[in-house]
Amino acid sequence: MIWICLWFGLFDPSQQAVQLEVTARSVMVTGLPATTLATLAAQDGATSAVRVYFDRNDLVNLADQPALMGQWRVVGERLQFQARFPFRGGYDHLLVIQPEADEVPQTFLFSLPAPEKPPAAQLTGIFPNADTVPANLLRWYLFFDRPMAHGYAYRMVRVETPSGDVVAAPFVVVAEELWDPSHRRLTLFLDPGRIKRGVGPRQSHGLPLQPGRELELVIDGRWPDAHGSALGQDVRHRFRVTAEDDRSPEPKAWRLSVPKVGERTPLQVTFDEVLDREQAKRFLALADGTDTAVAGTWLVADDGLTASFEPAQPWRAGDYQLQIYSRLEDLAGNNLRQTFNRPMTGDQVGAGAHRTITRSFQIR
Amino acid sequence: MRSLTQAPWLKVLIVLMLSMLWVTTAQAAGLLTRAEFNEGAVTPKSMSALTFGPEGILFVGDAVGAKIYALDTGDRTAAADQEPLPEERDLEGKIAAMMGIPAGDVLIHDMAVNPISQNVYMSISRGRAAWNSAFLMPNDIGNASILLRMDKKGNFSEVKLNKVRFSAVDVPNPIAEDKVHRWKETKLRVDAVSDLFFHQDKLYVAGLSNEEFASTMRVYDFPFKQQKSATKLEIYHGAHGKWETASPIRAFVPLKIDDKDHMLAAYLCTPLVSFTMDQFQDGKAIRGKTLAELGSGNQPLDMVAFERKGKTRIVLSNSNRTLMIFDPADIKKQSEGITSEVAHKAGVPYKDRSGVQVQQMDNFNDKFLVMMQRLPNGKLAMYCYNKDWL
Repeated sequence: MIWICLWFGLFDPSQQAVQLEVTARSVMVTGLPATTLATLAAQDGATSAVRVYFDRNDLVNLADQPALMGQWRVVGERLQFQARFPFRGGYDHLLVIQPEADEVPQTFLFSLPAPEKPPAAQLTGIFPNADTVPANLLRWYLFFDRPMAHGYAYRMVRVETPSGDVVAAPFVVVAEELWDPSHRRLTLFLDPGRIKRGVGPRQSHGLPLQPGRELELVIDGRWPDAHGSALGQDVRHRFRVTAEDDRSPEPKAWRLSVPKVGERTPLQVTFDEVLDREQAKRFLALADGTDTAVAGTWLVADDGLTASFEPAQPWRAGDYQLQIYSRLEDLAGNNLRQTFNRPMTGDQVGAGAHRTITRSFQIR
Repeated sequence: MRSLTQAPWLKVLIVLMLSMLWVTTAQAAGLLTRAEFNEGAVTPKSMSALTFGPEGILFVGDAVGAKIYALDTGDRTAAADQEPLPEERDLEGKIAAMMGIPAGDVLIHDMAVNPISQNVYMSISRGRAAWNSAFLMPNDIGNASILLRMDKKGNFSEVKLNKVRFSAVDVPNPIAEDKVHRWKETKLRVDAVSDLFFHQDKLYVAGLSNEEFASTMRVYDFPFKQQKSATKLEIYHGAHGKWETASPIRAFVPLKIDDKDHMLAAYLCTPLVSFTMDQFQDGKAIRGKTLAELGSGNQPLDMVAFERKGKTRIVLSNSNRTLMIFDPADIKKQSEGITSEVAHKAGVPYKDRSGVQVQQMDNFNDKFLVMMQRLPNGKLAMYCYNKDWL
């Protein structure tokens, strides 16, 4: 790829036009006056008679910026600058030719095109996405279609009141930021210290989301993705805060819609309340009567209220077990074993080890 | 009268004089001659750690390539004075301008000062992978492939590796390339060489081997021979309340305590441990003495020892703590190591000095240390620090 730039009028018009041919790591200058070339040719190619400055478009306020590493030489009627490293696309490079220290330097600009950026990332979802959340909501998940930049999470998400006031410090700040490995899903924890009863932050500052309020989760459009492109528009998600949820999900109350033998119709599970959708994908499993995992795919509905299991093979007759790991939580961090907030009575501490809870059914 | 040639005492004298001449020549030849350097290109995969030996010999630890190189820098012109470097307030910006990239794409992996010339050498990568945890070190996110030299006026030049006098030795049984850190999820191979130090004709190399007992101190004779010595290291991490072998030494220096050679070593999160040099024996598994717990959530970044006006001081720099200055007398007083769980700070006392995020340190000359420090404005500064203040 060769980029040719032309300069007219920088030199005596009677002279031939100066041309720059820029490749990945070199710039070739043609059309320089013979006297310039002769003076340069008499010098060592490592002197500063020819130099290139990165990310500059003039010599004003150059301060002590060093020139690019590289070497130059005169080849016939041409001057070549060979850079030590490839030129970075999208940045100005200033070529300076100054055969003698007391001469006015001649300057030329060149640049390679910036590498093409992929389209800017978009916010593709928020969970929970319902228009109500319990006052003790523990997490929010944000989903993006492309990897996002690191270091902006707590500056680019805020909770606002209808009048535009910003709710102070609703989230616990984790400097590492809680991204999935692909940097497309962010987990935001509402400050658990402000949710747990009897704990200092809750007593001094109260719940981050006050029951009865209408609020908006605002995702700032200036949030950059991994390539530095902003999301674009602000996204506002309006929700109402309901009472605190202080009960654990109850698998006994889940409705199972059991398919028939020979079909590949999914098994449908309807929860008794909205569950943490991202956890449900990991904490549900299906086993047959010999406790062998059944091959197939779990799909949790966007609203976190239902899940379905599509078997890889048609259903066979027999006993089945829906296996639910007790770490599975609802929106308020209440898992199948214990609630997030619970009274401490006597010496009752903890609630035993986590375990797998089962619901049995038959397919005929 | 007997002829001269028949005089046996004269033959003896001649032989004696010749042999004295030979001995003198061999000693004067020094390491540089005895090292039997080859000349050619070296292609390290990662210049993870640097340290200087005598006579302008730079040791480069290549963790990914599992090799140690000794390079003859040819840099043997003595510095003219004991003055400091001019302060540089944007070292990465300066290097970036020379490499033709934004400052954020420059990553300095290690720094070493040639004690003869006071020239500063640094291993650098141009570009890096994403940084997503406060515990990721430069070697976790880039492979240094460029070696720069900065003179006392702050002028840079590249140390060309395509034609250099060198000698190389393998790091046998390095931690496997596919092994991943338990919670950082980074490749552990970058810690096959985590730090090195040249002391009394031996090169000490800390890092991870592929044993279950991974933390290792390797000792190489220099000039390099085919010999290898790898000692497995176990330390008590008081803040965790357990013996540990998985985490490598992050920084170490030799130190004489009661006339006995010790190695003082700092670990992640942040135990300070001593070993006696005579503990290092090939194939042995040894336990260090935990002198102090210096605080959790912290990465020790570099360590340097110096003697100034009759006093020895050890300086430790940290990612999340101040500079810590240790007095060997306090280390000596710590007769018992920590072997039971302690709060996050315990053991040998230290003086603190401002200077958090001092990323690199070395002895610059008799009077000064040289440091690189991340400033609150995000720039990386380089400056000299007067030893009299420490």
